Amino acid sequence: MLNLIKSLRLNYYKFRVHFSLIWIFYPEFDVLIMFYPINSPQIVYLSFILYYNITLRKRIIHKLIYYDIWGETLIKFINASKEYKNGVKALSNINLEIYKGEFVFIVGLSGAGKSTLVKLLLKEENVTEGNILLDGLDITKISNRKVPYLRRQVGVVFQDFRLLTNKTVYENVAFAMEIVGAHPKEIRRRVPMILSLVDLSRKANSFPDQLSGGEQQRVSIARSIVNNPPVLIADEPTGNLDPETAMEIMKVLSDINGRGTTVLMATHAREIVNTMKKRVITLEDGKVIRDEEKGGYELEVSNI
Amino acid sequence: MSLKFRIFKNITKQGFQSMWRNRGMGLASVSSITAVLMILGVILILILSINNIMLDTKTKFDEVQVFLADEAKEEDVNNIADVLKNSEGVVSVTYESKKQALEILRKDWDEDAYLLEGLEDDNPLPNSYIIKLKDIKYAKSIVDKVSGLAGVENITYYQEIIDKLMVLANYIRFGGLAIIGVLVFVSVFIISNTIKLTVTSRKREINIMKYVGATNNYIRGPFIIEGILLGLCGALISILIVYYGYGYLFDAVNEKLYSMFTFYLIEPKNIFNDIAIMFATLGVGIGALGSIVSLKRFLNV
Repeated sequence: MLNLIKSLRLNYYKFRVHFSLIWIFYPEFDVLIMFYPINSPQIVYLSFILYYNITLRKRIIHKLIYYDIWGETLIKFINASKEYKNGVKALSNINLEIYKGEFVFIVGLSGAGKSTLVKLLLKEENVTEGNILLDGLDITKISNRKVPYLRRQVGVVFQDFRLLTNKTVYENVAFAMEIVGAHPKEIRRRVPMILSLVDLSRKANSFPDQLSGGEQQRVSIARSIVNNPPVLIADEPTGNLDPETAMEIMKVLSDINGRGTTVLMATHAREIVNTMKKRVITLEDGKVIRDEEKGGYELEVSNI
Repeated sequence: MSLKFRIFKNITKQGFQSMWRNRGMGLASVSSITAVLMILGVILILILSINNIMLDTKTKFDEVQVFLADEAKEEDVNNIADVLKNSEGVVSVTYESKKQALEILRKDWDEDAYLLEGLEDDNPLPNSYIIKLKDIKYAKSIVDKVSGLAGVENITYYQEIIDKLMVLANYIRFGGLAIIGVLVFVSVFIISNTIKLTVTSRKREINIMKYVGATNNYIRGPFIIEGILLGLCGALISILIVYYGYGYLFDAVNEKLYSMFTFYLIEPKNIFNDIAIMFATLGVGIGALGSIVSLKRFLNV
């Protein structure tokens, strides 16, 4: 059985990716196999998880799931609404599709619902209505116990960096890998690689206090992508930085996007959005009011 | 497997690290646990000593003595012996003649034995049967059986005294347990507060860990290990203090106590194992529970 999986891993890159993702959401299974017709790759939504029970020596179909294997959608909001307990309606009827490999800006005034959107994706808050699919899996339905496994699939960067001040740059990044139980060898191999990707190899042994704001944010980005998540969410990553440093960060983010990671960035920064020429989703009062390819930063208020 | 082991190793390492970093706070927790366990030790020794005294008294007084009338006929005496031998719970029946009784009395009185001189000819002490019992609880039925028989003059047994002692011992035992319960509760509270301080100072770190995808157990683990270590330290210190303290007291006081009240305290080395196991378990339990209690609020992000 395991040999079979290994060979499949080698043969089908797509299969490997999806296999590991499923394993993360169903870690209690001995062996999991997903089947899908190889000859009609574009329209396969239905697949099923096969559970090989080693003690019974029997293959059991665990459940049928809708799983968008070859489809291009990574994140899908279906009529998602969020109303906080104090009655504030943060998001109402959001319908969005974000595709694999995209770079998306989410813009809007404070209180438009950007942060709530990010919180929903991290399952810090849950929707009051609707569904959110992440790579085909409905994250509004997963149990609290599995939230950590979801968060390993979603890298996140914040405005205030959120680094551990008593750990060096290297340790801060390695920390994220230790949490998921990565092999020390793998950590020693991967952390320097990621640090060089964000151009911080020389600062590996510095502490966050000794770095500039831009450098700290790059450490934070390194930490968020070190576990190779399919999505990176950046919540106003340039909010605390001057324009030049902000552009540096944007370069790093678009490099990461270039390597296949989908990037979702909530921001206020008009110049950045306008120079990047990427997809822009504009939120106002919890609704999507504009969704443009290669858009610019335009808000209703600025037009008045 | 190896993944779980690695995660466990990380957690343990962090637990030790965090204990070392917060050693000032740790000292406070350790001393509070030590204090609680020491009080507990004192109560425990009290209870064990009372148990010991109880057992002692029980074996000392597990006999019934049936005194025979001087004018009793031989067949009556034999009849009594038969009845006694066939009763439930009897281990042995010994006949003690007037002469033997006097002899024993003489030995007991020791220096004052000269007062008994001249009694040999007109011995006022009765003949008697001394019945050894399996347990003092059989005494009542035997007394009921024998008391009506011809030739029985008097019966002595100690059940009432022992009953009263048992009741007293039970009170002390339950009282002690209640106090121990309260103390354990208090110490869980104290250690949970101490750990809450460490947790609060690491709130940011916990928050970050949650975002990077650490499971609750991964976050909790180091704190629980820290709590367990603090509990173990407290237990170790209190075991040493209680053991040596009690040993010193035992040496100083035991002989005097025996000459005054005819009982011995429990020997320190006999209770060392019990106390060590109990303290270690309680220390670990208090530590772990304290961490779990203090962390509960911080794990919801």
